[in-house]
Amino acid sequence: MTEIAVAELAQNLRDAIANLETTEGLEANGIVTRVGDGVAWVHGLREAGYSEVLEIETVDGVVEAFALNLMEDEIGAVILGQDSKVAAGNKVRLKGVILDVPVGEELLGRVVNPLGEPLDGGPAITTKQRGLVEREAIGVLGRKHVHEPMMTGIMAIDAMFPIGRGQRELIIGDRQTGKTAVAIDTMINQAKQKTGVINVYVAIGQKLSKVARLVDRLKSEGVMDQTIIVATGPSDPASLLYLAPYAGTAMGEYFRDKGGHALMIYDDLTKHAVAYRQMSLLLRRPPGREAFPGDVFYLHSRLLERSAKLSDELGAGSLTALPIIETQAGDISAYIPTNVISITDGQIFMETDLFNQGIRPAISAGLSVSRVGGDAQTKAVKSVSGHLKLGLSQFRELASFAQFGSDLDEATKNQIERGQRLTELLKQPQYSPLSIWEQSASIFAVNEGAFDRVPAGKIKDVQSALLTKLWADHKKDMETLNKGAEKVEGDIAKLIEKVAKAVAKGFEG
Amino acid sequence: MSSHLSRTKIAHYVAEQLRAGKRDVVAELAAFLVEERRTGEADLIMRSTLEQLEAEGIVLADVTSATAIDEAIKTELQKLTGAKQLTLREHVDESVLGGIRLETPSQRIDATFAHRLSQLRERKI
Repeated sequence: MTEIAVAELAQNLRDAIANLETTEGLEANGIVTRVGDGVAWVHGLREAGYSEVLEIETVDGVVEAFALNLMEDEIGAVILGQDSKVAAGNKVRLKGVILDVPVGEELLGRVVNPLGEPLDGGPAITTKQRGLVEREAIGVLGRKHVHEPMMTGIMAIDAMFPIGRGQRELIIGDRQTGKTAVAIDTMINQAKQKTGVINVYVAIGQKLSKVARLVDRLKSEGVMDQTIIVATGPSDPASLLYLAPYAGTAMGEYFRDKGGHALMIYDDLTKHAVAYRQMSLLLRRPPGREAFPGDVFYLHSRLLERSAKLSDELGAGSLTALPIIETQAGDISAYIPTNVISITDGQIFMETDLFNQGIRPAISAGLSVSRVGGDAQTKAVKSVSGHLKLGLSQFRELASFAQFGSDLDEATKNQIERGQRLTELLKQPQYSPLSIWEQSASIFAVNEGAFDRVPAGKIKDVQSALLTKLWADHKKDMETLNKGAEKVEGDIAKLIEKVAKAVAKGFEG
Repeated sequence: MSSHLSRTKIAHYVAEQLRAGKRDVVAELAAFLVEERRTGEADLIMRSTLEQLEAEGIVLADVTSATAIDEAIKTELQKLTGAKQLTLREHVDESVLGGIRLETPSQRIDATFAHRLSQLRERKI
């Protein structure tokens, strides 16, 4: 066959496909029998698939819904948007696709709803690609162990509970304990340290004023350019709240699959479970514990399983997840908290008591854990933080004895004093993440006892003086340390110790 | 406790009886629905029955066009639906402008000019 004939053949094939695509045929037809509370019941459409999009023809145009209950006599579909337009008797047809959202770089810097429509008053978003909202997680062979650090910039986390790229680390705690603050600091740190990690913040039923404040803060910190915000408010239909984390994950997966790195923040999954419970009860699914449906575990496990570190063959991209769960009165053994704790690779537990004592971030050293992040910790931080967690936990245990003061033996006294200094050191104001060298040098100085004569109340001042001095006089060494590839030992250790001791002299009292 | 018989199962039974020529199944169904206090579902059960019959090749379809349709079109429609026995309920409606709209119990094709125009309008928006 000549080349020309092949070209013609290809053209004919394309024409034929185009022809087929525009030819209308018989399409399945259903009818709305009942509607209310965001759920439409549809008769007919026996070919409908689970999670398939349905188009309901209303007087004011087409309203979309997706099929969640496929039953013998009817379909229960959750309406995306206003249900007031939908009426019994409306015709319904299958769209032939399952739900997808726009994905791509075009979304960076934008605030969108879970359908990818802009909420920030900006121009309409046109992307080259679309991503499936519900997508199967990558398999075993497509994954690699978590080994690169995802620095949060929060010393207490990076030193004691390091997070790696591709890890799922739960942030859990009561209301007003600084859970969102940890997540926001992590996002800010990605811009400050120029890690190139894309942030996707998913607000599930959050007050829109809070989201607006967050956007302003991210803009002023210069983080918004590498951030996508998927926002749903408390007044949005439960269907949108339910979709938000899946839609956000689809947007994050685009960067993961391209070999990039993305960070997902789900704020918060408690509200997500509540929205799903609402939908399930309205769909007449049988309630289980705390009235949640039987598949509430699968709801979160299939979401979080999509966060992964990909193998080199697949481009070595990663999707890290920081889901947030709100507890009631510190009860981490409630239904949803235990579920998500068991799904994730560790949790950061925020305590109300610590928060009220002024220890912020209020991270509980005893109840927090990172199960896979150890390999991902930078050598520099790892070399100085070896016994930090144990020391701090022991100190919190001993702290109650501190009131006996002089009755204690010397070793216990020392442990308490060191613990007090470490506790002070790990306090960190919001929106000021620390880089690797800052963390390593600070912890090293306290561990080596350079600040032993400085009163605990002045630790933050002496730390700040040390960091300023080190950066001013030894910038090159600090830049090397900041790469994190080398342990804090030898010359660099001596240098930090020397400067720390010199700086400490001004604060002793 | 009596089990709730699904509409699909009822429709299956009714369709079977109708095919066997037993017209009194309608009275039987009415009695059943009254007894079970499910008269509100009568329309949906009729719809399901028609869908069941459609699956077996006995199709009752509504056809809407701007002018009356001729035999050639009817033959075409029979081919399109793939029905063994097609009963058409014809409606003439000038507002469709031209073309044809066919609605069977579970399927639909709208090839009217009015529909095409509204589609074009939507895409333009």
